[in-house]
Amino acid sequence: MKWTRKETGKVTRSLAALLLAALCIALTGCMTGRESCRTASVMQYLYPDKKEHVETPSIPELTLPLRVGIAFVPGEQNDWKQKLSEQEKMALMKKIAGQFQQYPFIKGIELIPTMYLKPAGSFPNLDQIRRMYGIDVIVLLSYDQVRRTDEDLRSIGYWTLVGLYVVRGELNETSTMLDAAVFDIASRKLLFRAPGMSMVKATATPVNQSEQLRKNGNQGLEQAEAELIVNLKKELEEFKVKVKDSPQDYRIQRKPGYTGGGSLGELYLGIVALAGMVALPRKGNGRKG
Amino acid sequence: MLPLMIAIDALVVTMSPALSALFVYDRQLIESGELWRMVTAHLVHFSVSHLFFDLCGFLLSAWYCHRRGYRQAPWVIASAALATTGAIFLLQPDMARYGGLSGVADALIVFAAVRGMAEKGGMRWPSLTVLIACCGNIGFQLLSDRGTLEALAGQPFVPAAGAHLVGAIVGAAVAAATS
Repeated sequence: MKWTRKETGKVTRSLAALLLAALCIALTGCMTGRESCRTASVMQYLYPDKKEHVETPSIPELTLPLRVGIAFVPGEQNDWKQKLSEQEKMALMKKIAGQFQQYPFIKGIELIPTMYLKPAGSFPNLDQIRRMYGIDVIVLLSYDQVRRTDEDLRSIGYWTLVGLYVVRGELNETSTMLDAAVFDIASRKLLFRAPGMSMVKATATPVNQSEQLRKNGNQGLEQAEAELIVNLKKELEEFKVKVKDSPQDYRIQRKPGYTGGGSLGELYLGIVALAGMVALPRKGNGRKG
Repeated sequence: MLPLMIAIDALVVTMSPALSALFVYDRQLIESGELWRMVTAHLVHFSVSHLFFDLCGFLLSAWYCHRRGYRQAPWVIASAALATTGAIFLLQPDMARYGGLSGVADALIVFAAVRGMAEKGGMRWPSLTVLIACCGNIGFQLLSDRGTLEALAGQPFVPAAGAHLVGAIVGAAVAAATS
């Protein structure tokens, strides 16, 4: 059977339309992204949607040296696969404990497993932990990690099947936020907070997509951890100044077990030095023993 | 020579965490028999600024005593070293750790000032000024809560006003006895 020129033209046009439609569908596919997240919110833990009681913070009374607890707030119930493992949490808590340990006004640090914190447990739960561990202040760690995946134009290569293995057409973005909020449990007062954030971008083939996402998630956490540690140190320093400058906002007391040291003030030393200079006889006039 | 040797020892001990741990006044360990800590605690300092100010006061007063020919200075150092930690042990059971040379330095300063008061010439006014400054410093530390705030503001300890007071009393007593 021989096709006329008119028939050939019709078939060509039909094929072109078909290809165009397929391309449009593919491109539309590129536009739609997939998103997943893992979250543990300090707000959700401390201030769940309860209407019967509102916690009112009072003036914190910090009794030195302080005993500090560090804990991750519980995450969402439904995403158990996405949650941070207890090992990951402990590793981060140890790093944060290292930051607090160097301060003389901190007597001890307790790392509290997440299982001791009830979801939406709020301050009554913290009171239980306070009694259990004998802590005064708690560092509540929360996280929010969002992974977004898009496909770029290279994903057309997946049609070749081999492309599924070699074409890196999956664009992944992982944004992570870690947050450390330090509360005085007795007064319900937020003393200070420090955030750590990161954004990791990477491409992957569909075959190694889940592995790449996991890597990105871990990398994002590491970067956010590093930033959190730096910010925590800064915030701690600022908090010390704030306590010193605003005695009306923070009451400071001592308790047994503190370290004492003999310390001569600059002014006192200055007076002694000046008096010594005035009193000391010139060379040759002194009484030598 | 003795003050210089003490100053060098203090520098070495403070720079070595192992020596500091071995020498610091630790109430619990003293109670369990480590009595040397009552004397060696004066060589331990908790920060560079703590060491700097204590050594300044100690060396300044020791040098002054040397220039004035006060031969009792070593006795002042020895008795103040024992009296300050002894008083902390007996009167401040809450204080778990202590370190610093300032109690001894205060003893030397007061000793020199009281001796100066007893001497003729232009010594009286500078000596009186030092005594007033010393009383003011100790009084301020005893009455205000500055120490606690200082502790939170970066210093790894709270100033032990009691040690300064005992040091000053020892210095005054030795001066009065030897004038």
